[in-house]
Amino acid sequence: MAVGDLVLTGLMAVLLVGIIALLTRIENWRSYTPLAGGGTATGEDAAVLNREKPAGIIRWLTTVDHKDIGLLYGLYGIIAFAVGGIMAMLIRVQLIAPGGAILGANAYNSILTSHGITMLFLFGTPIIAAFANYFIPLLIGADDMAFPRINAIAFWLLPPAALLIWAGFFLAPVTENMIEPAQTAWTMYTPLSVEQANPGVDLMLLGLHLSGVAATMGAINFIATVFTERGEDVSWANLDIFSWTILTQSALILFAFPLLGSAIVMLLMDRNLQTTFFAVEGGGPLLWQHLFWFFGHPEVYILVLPPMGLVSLILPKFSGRKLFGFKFVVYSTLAIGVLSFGVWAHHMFSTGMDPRLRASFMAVSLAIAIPSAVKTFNWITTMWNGRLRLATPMLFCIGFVANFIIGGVTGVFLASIPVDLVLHDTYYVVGHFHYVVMGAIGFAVFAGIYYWFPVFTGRMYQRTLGKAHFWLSMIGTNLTFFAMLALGYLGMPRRYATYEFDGAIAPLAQVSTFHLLATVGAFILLVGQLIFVWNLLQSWLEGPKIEDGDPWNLERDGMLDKEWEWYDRKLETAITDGGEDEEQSALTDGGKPKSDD
Amino acid sequence: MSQEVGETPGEKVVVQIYVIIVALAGVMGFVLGSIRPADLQPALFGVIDLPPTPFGVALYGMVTVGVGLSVMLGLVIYVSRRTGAVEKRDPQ
Repeated sequence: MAVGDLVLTGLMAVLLVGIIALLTRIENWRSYTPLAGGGTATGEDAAVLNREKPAGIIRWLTTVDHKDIGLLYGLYGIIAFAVGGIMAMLIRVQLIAPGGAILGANAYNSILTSHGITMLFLFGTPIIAAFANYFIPLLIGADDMAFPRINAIAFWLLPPAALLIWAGFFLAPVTENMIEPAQTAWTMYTPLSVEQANPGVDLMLLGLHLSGVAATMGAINFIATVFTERGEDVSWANLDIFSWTILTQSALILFAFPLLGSAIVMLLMDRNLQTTFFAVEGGGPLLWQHLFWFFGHPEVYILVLPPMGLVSLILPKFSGRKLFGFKFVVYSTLAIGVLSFGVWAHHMFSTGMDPRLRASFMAVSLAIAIPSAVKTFNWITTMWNGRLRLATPMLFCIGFVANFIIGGVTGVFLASIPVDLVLHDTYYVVGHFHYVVMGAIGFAVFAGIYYWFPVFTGRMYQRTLGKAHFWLSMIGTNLTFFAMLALGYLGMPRRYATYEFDGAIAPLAQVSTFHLLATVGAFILLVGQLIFVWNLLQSWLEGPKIEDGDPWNLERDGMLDKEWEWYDRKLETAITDGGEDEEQSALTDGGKPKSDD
Repeated sequence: MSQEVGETPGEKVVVQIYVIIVALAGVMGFVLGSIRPADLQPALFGVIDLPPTPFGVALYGMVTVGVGLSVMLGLVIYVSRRTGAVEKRDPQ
């Protein structure tokens, strides 16, 4: 035993020495000096630049290039989208039959919990970071992010976060269900989340905490980048709309995610160290809801503001005219950012909170609809009188606007206390927020992927498959989530693995029919996403190569943004492997500006 | 490499979206009218009582949403004309 302890102590000592040695080699955070090149804390070699990236997998594991990290975020987000999507399909198949078609109650609860957390924290936030990492430095004329290494660390915290969040699924079979997936729903309401003894809940909380740390590090980086790394010709006055939304989103993350982290630590302590933050004799169970939603509602805008920025950026490009009322769209973004911290208790109208407080939260919740409506107004006015080119990115932008109107209007009703008291915790709420998260946020992400597909692949996607993806997504989204709105009116409560109805409330046959319709819609969505992935992969490998830096003919309308100019320079300065002009080949990232412009 | 895509007038697309959303409101009204939840008493703008039948509730949904969105669409048209006139006078 003593020998074992000695060996363990020795190993720990070696590990510590290794960590110290590693830390001494980390010098100026802003330099690109590769550790393998001998950079040390003295920073003597900080000016050394790598002429070429390492080959193969090492490139992706060691990269600090914002574009590579953007692609890594993108890959991560799409894998998480697939995992979350499979979970959604399982949920939908389960609910075809009132008694549940395929899953037990515990398995259903686990999948429901993981679906929400996966889609919001492992798909939503990272896929936005994918666009932001790749394009913010290009759009603002920066060489890279302000802190490239922090950028890489922020990304590499995410895979372990996902493993921890999903850990219960892997560990349940090998631990004979000693560790199961969390079954708390994504809101983790106390006392349920304190009383579930399952260690899988702790693992999930730690994973969530880690993803929050990653998001916060990323947010600090974006704020620093937009403030300090803008090119000389990029002022606050001509900063593009996507950068504005990322800046606002990063500020929201900075205020919201650390609070989630603190609340998670308190919950972990309640679970494991017998503290009473959320116990009746302590802070009370409702304290968790206040803390969670003080993070949770800004999180909604953390997820929706950048997609709004994507639509504000892309929609005018295919309308042949500049974004109508640019300034007001920026002001609306800032207004939503501020107001988003004053609406959290509208998630808690039915908890028995003070009615005077409730009324004030209702007023602010209704008020936040105004800047959202201003944005919608500006998108529609941009399209009106425009010459629309209905390419796939534009179709997804239009789909975004249509779905956002439905998601927004249903949300305005929920903001009203009397309506909320009737519809709270029903499928109406599920339908409402899915119109926003899938119908709007998801659609804007697809618009962004198709719009910039030529930039990050050098190839064009297949147009027919892109349109098939759009129409299947549009029909699937509306069928699934429209049926959920109807289910809500019927009084179907959310989160249940099975259902039975008193005929006086609603006939069971009607409820089952709408569940079936929602499931059919989900399958239509699934086919659309399979086509999307196929199109993405096949076109990346075999699609027609892009030959000039303006595949969307934006220059004609004077709307060629900086990222396309960068891409054009990249095409001009690229030479084939084994080419002749070695000097020119070194000019990749910053490239040589066109002298004749 | 560029994608050849024809141009469509923006007005046409916006009106189509308007019609689709109003039609969806009608479908939802029809569905609700068919389900007939307890105490369903549609009153147009809180004034004109409509029958709680599928068509009555569909009419309620279409008129309510249609009028609401019409206000916004009217604003869009008004502002577009105003700014269009300004652009013609002052091409900057």
